[in-house]
Amino acid sequence: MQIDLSRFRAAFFVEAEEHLQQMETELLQLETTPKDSELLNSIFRAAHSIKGGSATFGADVISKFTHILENLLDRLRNEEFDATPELVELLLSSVDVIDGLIRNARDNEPLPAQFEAIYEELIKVNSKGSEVSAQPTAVQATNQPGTKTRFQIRFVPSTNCFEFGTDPLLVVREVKSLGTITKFVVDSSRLPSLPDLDPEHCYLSWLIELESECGKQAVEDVGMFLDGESKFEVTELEQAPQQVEVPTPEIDEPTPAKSKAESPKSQPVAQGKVAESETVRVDRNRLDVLINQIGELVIGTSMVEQDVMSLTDSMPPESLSALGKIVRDLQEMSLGLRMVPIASAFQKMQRVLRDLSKKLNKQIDFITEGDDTELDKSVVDQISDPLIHMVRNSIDHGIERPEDRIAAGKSPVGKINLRAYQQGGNIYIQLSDDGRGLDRDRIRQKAIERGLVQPEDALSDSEICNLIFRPGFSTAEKITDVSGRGVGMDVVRKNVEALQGSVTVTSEFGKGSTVTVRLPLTLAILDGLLVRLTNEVYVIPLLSVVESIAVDSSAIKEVVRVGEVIQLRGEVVPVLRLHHLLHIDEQSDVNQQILLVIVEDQGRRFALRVDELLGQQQVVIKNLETHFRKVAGVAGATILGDGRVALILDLLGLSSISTHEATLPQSVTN
Amino acid sequence: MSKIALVVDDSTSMRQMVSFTLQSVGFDTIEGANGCEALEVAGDKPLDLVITDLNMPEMDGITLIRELRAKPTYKFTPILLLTTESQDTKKQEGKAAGATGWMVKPFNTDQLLTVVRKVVK
Repeated sequence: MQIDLSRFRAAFFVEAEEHLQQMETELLQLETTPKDSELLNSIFRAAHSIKGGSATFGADVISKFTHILENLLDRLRNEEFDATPELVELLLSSVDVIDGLIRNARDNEPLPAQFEAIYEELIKVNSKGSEVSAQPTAVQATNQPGTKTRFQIRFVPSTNCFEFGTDPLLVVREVKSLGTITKFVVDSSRLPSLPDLDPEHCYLSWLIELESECGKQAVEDVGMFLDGESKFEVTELEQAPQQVEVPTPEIDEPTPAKSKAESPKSQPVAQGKVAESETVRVDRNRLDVLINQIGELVIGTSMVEQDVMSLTDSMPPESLSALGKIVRDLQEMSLGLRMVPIASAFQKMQRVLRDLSKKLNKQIDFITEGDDTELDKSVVDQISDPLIHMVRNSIDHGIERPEDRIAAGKSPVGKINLRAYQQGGNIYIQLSDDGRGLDRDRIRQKAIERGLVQPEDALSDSEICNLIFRPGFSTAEKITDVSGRGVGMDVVRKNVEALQGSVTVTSEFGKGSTVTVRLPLTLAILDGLLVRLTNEVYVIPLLSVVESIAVDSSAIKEVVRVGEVIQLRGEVVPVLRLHHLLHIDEQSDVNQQILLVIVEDQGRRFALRVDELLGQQQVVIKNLETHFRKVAGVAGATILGDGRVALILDLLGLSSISTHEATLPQSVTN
Repeated sequence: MSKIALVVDDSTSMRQMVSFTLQSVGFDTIEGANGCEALEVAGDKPLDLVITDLNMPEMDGITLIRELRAKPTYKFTPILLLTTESQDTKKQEGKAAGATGWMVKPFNTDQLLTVVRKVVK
């Protein structure tokens, strides 16, 4: 049965074009580094893939052309030629020709104009030096039909041939299918006595005489699947006389060895279908547009709800509430479309751990939990790098050497636990080890040396630990003499923050550390606290909100070098005047009571002064940069149920504006 | 119960072609774009056949064969190596790693099935 291959041709053309693009880029690089063997190999492989595919999918012209090109590239990488500028030029033209050939094969465009000339040129260059076949491997020679040859075949399977999946009987059957068997001898002399017999070994061998129209090559090919130790010797006897057929002896069915060796195959094959859930690949952009559009639908629905409420001055009718629910369900489902398990990111850690623990000679048990925790695909893609940093850090600086661990009364085998779980609208990824933990004194000392903190600064325990995430805390060459950790942890923080997440560390000296990464479930939606500043509405990410309080204006104190602060259960918290930072006129009627929203970001707390709390709401984040430009202190914008635009505050940005007393561009809300 | 084949090739078209051909004779197929992926999808599921390309990024066919043969589940599984390099060294390397046999590209679906029938009952 011949299967129609045309359906796979489209996929092949796409692949071939990718390979061509790669070849082109690399050939251009080759111009500057003509001796780069890595590059040459890669170019060769691309050509090689195109050749293989085109031959398989019946694009003969491409195959023929690429074959010559491949030969040339092969000799180039074997340094038979130099990659002279002229040669690179020729290779680049060849890429263009193949591109044209693809369009010829796919879209019925005419053959590329240069085709003949470049083809000739390739052959010419190729024929310099040693002889290279210009045609794909020749078809095997077969005997003239009608003339039969007699072969003697000695077939001695290796004792352990079953281990390679070889079934000698299949080979024997295959021989039989080639012609007429005139002699068939089973040699069982190697068969040991029953107690010595290993049922997984093969002890039999065969001597077969075959009369066939096939050539010797075809007969020898039968043996090509045998392992290296098996013998399959074919000797040509003489041309067979046209004589009466000798009846073919029946081939013995299973040897004792065989039935046993087969058993693994006859085991039930479960899973298979179950494991493969059907999937459809969808372009990421389309998905985003869909999700975005559904976000708009949610906003539109709540606008209608509000209009109806203000028109009728009563609760919206049931039908409208029902519609609202459907729309919100739809939104939830649409967000689920982008969700994938974090397993793929965790999988990579296994490898990192294996390689690094081997290199550092540390024994580590690595346990992952919650691999099936789902989060946004783009988050999963981008979390690998920070995770690798974290895992490397744990192995390098957390887990001690086996001898040190024994001395500390621990098991010589360290433990690293990587777990993911969902809590509320967040995904937490926790990496804990039972290593040496963080040495507070040294961290503090380092931070002072590097000018990150002042010697007189009073820091809480958690503030000290989290100093390791500060840029400049530690650099790679310093880390070896630091007993704590620190290499690249600022990079981890930066990457995690780019995903709207945060990272913290807790640690017990001598017992181990736990780094916790908090990530939003999705980057498209945010739980926000809506606040009013004079006439504008702003959104504070709810995740950062610790509490909100009303205090007497006298509770706010002015402190030198810090500005306004408030004392909150013994902790001094800086107060940010949002009006001032965002250039909004303050309300004239100064209340005695001041509303403060206490927020926490990067382990630091501060209080935001607002005029009114309007409530909390899920908002769809609109990127400000795509519509306007980046504004310091603003993370994005959203459209409220009444159609108004509200800016989402970027707390980290706000606090740095306040500390640097930089001025913010004019508010962009109108 | 249908048989399960693992098809490993970094070329999607090739993988689809081989899978489709195998499915046409009743196999269920699972796929990997390189050795690492193949090991991942295989897990430790029993397989009736493995067909793998030789040159692949991340993990090549020979390494994959070694890794598979190291697992008891795949000690006896027929493994075919697909290659366009007809050099004997690669074939021998494949054999030594535990390949049951090889097929030289290009091949058509008939040739593929003939070879598959040789190694799978």
